[in-house]
Amino acid sequence: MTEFDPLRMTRRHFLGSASLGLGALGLAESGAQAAGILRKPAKAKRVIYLFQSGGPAHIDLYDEKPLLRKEHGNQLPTSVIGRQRLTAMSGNQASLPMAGSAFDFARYGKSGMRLSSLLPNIGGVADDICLVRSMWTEAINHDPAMTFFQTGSQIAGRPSMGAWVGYGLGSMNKDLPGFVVLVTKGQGDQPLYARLWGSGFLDSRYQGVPFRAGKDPVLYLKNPEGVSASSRRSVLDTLGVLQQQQSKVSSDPEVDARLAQYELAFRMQTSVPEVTDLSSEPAETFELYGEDARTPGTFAANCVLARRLAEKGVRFIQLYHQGWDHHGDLPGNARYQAKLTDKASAALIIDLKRRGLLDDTLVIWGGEFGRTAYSQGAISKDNYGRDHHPRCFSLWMSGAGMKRGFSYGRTDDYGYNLLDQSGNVITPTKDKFVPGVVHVHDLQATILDQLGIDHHQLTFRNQGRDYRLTDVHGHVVKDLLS
Amino acid sequence: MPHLKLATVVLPCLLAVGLSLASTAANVKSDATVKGIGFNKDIRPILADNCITCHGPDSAARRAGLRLDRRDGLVAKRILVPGNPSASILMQRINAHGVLQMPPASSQRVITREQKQMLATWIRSGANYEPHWAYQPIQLIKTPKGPGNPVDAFINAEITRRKLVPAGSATKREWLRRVSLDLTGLPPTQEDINAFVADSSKGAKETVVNRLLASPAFGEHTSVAWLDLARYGDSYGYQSDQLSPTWPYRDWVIRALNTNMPYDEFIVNQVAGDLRPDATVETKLGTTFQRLHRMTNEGGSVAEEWRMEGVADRVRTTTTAFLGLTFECARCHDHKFDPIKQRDYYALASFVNNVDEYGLYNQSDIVPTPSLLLPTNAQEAAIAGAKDRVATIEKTLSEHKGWSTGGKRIFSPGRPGLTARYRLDDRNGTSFPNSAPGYTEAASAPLGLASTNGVKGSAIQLNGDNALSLGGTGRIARHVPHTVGMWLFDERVDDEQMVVFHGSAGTDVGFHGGDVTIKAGRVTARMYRHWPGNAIAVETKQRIRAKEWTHLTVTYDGSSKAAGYRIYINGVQQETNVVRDHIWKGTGTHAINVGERFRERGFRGGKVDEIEVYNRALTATEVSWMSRGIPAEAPRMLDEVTPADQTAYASAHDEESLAIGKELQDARFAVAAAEDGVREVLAMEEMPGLRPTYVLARGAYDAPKTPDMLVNRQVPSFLQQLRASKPNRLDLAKWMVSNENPLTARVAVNRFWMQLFGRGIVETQEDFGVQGSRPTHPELLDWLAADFRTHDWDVKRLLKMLALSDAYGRTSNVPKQQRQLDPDNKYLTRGPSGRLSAEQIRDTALSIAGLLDRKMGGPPVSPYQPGDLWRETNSMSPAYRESVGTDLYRRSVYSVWKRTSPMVNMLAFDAATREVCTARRPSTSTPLQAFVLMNDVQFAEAARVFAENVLEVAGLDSDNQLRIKRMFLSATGREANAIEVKALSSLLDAQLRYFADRQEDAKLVAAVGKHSVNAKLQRHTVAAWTMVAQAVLNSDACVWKR
Repeated sequence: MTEFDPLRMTRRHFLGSASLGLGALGLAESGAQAAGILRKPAKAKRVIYLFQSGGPAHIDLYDEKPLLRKEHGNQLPTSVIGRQRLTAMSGNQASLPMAGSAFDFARYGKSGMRLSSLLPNIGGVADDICLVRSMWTEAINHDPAMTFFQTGSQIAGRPSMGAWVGYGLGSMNKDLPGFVVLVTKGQGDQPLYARLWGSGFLDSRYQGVPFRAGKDPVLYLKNPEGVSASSRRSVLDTLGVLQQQQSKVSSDPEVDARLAQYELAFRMQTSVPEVTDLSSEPAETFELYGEDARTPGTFAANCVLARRLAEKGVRFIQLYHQGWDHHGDLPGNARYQAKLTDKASAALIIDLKRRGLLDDTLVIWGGEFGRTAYSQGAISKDNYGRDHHPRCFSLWMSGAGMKRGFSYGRTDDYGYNLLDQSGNVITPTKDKFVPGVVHVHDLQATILDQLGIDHHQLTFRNQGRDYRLTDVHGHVVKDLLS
Repeated sequence: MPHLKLATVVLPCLLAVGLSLASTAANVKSDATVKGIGFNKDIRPILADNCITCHGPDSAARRAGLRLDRRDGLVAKRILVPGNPSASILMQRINAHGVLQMPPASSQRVITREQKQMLATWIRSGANYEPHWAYQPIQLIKTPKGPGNPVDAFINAEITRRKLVPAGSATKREWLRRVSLDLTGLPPTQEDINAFVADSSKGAKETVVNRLLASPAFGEHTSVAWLDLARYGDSYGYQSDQLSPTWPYRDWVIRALNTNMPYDEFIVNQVAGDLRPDATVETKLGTTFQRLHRMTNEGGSVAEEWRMEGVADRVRTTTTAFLGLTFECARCHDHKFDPIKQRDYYALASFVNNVDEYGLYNQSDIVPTPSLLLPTNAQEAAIAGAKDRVATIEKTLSEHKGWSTGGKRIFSPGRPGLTARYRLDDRNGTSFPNSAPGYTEAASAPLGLASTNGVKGSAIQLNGDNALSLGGTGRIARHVPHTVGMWLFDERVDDEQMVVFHGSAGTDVGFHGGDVTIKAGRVTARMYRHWPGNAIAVETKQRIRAKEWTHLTVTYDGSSKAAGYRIYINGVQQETNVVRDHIWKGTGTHAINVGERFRERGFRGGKVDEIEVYNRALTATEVSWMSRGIPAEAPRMLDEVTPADQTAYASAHDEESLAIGKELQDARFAVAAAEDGVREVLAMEEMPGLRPTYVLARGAYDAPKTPDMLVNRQVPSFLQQLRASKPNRLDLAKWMVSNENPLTARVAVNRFWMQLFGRGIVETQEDFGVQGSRPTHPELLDWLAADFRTHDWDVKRLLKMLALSDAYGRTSNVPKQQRQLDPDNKYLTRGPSGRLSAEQIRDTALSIAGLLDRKMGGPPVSPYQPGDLWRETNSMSPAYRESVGTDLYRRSVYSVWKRTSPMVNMLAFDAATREVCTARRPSTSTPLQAFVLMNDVQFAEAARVFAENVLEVAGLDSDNQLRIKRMFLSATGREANAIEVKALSSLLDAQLRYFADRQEDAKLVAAVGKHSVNAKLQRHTVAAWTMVAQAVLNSDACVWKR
């Protein structure tokens, strides 16, 4: 008699054997389903995350602070900083002069959302976005902060959000990966790391697949030079025979599973170039997203591509736009980055909406932290820089299940501290949920919730512990949900 | 009295309170029975999954003061009533509804009906607890009687007990391929196959195993799993992710495995090779293991935060790799499942916290200290020679008294060596003239600084953010003597360290060069390549007064010794404490800046005046003149002046002394230059004293460090305690490999078991704790562990025993029905099989193609990558420079491993990123794998060259079928069957026709990769055969171990 004891099985073990069957179906099934993780009705079927890497300055984009303009150049009162730590960059600066934004703010949309003049197009869709001005995080340097945002931990080795979602929900299409990564080309600035879209301790099938601008959109997608699709087909057919023989002898289902991956790869050789080729897009698309969308690898082109991938049923589309780390010459730099991102970000919302996709697509726009109210380095009448600021910053979401034309959360008059709903300065901890402020784990919990996943339930046992994207924290911010 | 200690200290912490130690073994045994309910097997998992989070070892999270992980007090409180489930509160609460229900609905945990029945059965039969098996001493199991491999006796007994049927033996070829891949990572060659098939002797298998274990490829392959654990990479792993020259450690691991270093010594060297009484460079190199945690040089990083991250990573890696414990869970709170207290975590951390390190790295070529120098013999000789020369010249100089004879020489007070004198009185915008005779270079404050009243005329008012740059008038370097003097006014805005002046380069994550700082009035002078480990520094005992004009002079004699620094305040030499006194390699040569350094605290609020720079170390007499002025005496004969003035004369005026001094400076430069080329790796080194280690609330580096949080060095309280009263890392290492440690040997044999059988006896290699898998064969595991220890931790002997077992030699090909009886092969009813690892797949392809370059060791190589993926999303990264020639075909263990951008073609096959300790890789199947094996130039080229080689095999004439058979056999180690031959033949025929009509395409296919094209062969023939080779190289028979 053999021992079959499901209670004794670890989840990994269970997945290990369950995946044999899944493999044959390509990427379609979810590991979490196989592990018995329950799902709730979902408002969002897919996510497009427009990650603005480097830390966009909330004070210059989303969170208007007239006081800073009035006090421009004067010392930031030490009472405002309190016991918060500064980075080793500006922490040693002799003076911390307040820096008012170089940009005017105005009311946008029926909701009257106040946004910077740098973002007129996002302003144009203000009534479709849900703006959170009270985001906060613990990390103060880029690498750990981004890793925290994308994997729920500053420590490496955890799955990224897209990998968790793939594990939780599986893919919705048969010939494209479920988790695609798009990076604005040639931006430089703060680096990106493979771990940001890695699968951590989950199977590597949940890794994000970077789609690159240019001839080879997925690494190794193209046949070697001189090898035609027909030759490849013949090789695969022959491989099929070899696999059959092996399968017969070994009775190992993995043999067939592997062949199925080859077939999926073969289909991807057609489907990926098709979806990444924007030449079939009408001129009107480029009017909407901006002419730079014609240049592969621009943020605008990636936004168009994101919409196309969404249409094809890709579950998690992760964009990265590097370039927001403005320690010096913030006005000039922010103006430039806004020019690259504002129009296309708004166009994506408009485009998804008119195609009926916004109702079940969650779009997220934001970086890993905010920037300081004081100037880093020299300040002049119209120029300044800002250092990293984790205590408060802004981020917006749009679509599936989120309130529209809605602003949430408040910061103090300096844009330095979070306020609770009564307007008192608070020092939040991630252990205690305070209505009005949104920790990174709260955001993650909310995103999962909209996808129909209870963030407590989406677990994977590793090293004896059931890990979650939200660690042991996180709270769905119901106030943001329509 | 260690035993008493065990009884009094350990026992209360065991899960099995109420049981005597003597009854332990019996309980463990009963647990292993197949039928009946066992606590460890059945009950503990239910409690662990549903109850222990709130009722477990974590005292902070514990609710209602109740813990269910031990029996203590549960019977008295009637939580458990042995024999009577319904009277047990546990069952009542589990079966309750509403507010009394446990676990509460909000926990979203559910105990199933079957589990409730199991709990009831368990309570009925006495509700006995058992200690967690892995924390119990390794049982001394008798070696099974009878002939044959003892391993088989255990496995066969279990198979019989479970009424399973073992599969028959693998064919000779199957076994040979399997064992070759498992022990060396490479498939057998044609010659290997022929030799083994022809060897009908009884010891044929043993001959093979001996050959494989003796092959250098053994260490190259076996090291990979260890390098995963050691999170070995060739880069620092964060942000800009600069390259880190750590490869000597990789070669050390390979060497240790190949020379069969006993595993206990392997551990001791990696934990404390520096502390062994007989420590050598080789034992010390093992400790690089402790320093391979990632490091950052991201601007703005707080050094202490990252230093603690490094310490935490050491704890995590050490405990996972050696002990199979999930210690990192206890960094922020008591472990939820295992009896690891948060205090245990920090008590263990204190062993690896006593390192004189900074926490950040600065740039790729400056190895963060502590480090180990690995000079070649020639370098060692060159350095010794250079140092000898310095000593000789120093002696010559000290003995040089030529100037004192004759009495004819005249001494005239003056300022010899003065290269800059800034009165700071006349400013020209932001520029200040230099009044040193013969020197013109002005000082400047490019960002602006105000003038204010000074000691004499005007002074400069500093703000801490803007520098007064002295341009090229002074040079700060390790080998160059110098003097800098100035009047300063210390506003003392706070008690933080402030930079008065410096000649250094770097950013806030680390500088190299020299500087003078003030902290609460104490003056420190430093010269360093990497602070604090590679540095000389002195600090004044006295403080200068705040808010008062003070004259400060710092002299440095170029000796690279702390004693070479002198600090004078108001002309009086100060007593100093030596802060650091060991420096090597160059520090760079830097101009002087006053009052500011990039992103550091400058001399804010301070003022400076009358700055003087000299290119020599002034004598005390001369320094006194700087503040008091040069005495207005007429020149006098040398024999009429004081001895101090005579010394000043010798140092400043005597031509011969000056010439010797110049020679000395050159000789000192030569020492640093000789050192510069020496390889240097991160290593462990105990610093003097003991850095206090505190329990950090939530694991945060800035948590309050109060006396009650201070910990002593200690091993986990639930395990056998250390005997040493003031233990160090070496005691920790010895404890790990001691007979009392129940974990190390089990974890080790399980890993080597995994190397051959694919799956450990304990499946969760990374977790031997309560939440880990239970051993499928507990007695076998203990027997192996004890046997391993008894036989001097002999790794090769262990592997040989496993490789020669019948269990390992079974076929993995079984009919479906038989497979389903033991789906995961837990009971070893069939032979092991599994997809090859990333490294094996690449090395196998290269080996089959005859491309593999077997050169061992050395700096990492950079095989094919599609473009510069390193810089594609990281403009701060160094560029990827693809290797040329045979370095494109080295074994994968030598491929450069950039931790933020690892080889994509390796990651596709589940290679670990090496960012953190990884004990086990998953094995997946993805379309990306198909892309890599079909389209990556590395594999496409391997197919092409493989095809060319098969076409060149003599004696096959034009018989394509024979060639196909030959190809299949070399790639898979087995004969192709008729259907396979037929399929490959028709592919070949079709592709021959296809490419015959497409010569241009054929030319491209036949030339893929950098390897030279075989011009003797027809292009379309090579192209067609390349397609056939691709089919074979992608087939299961090649990519899988069967």
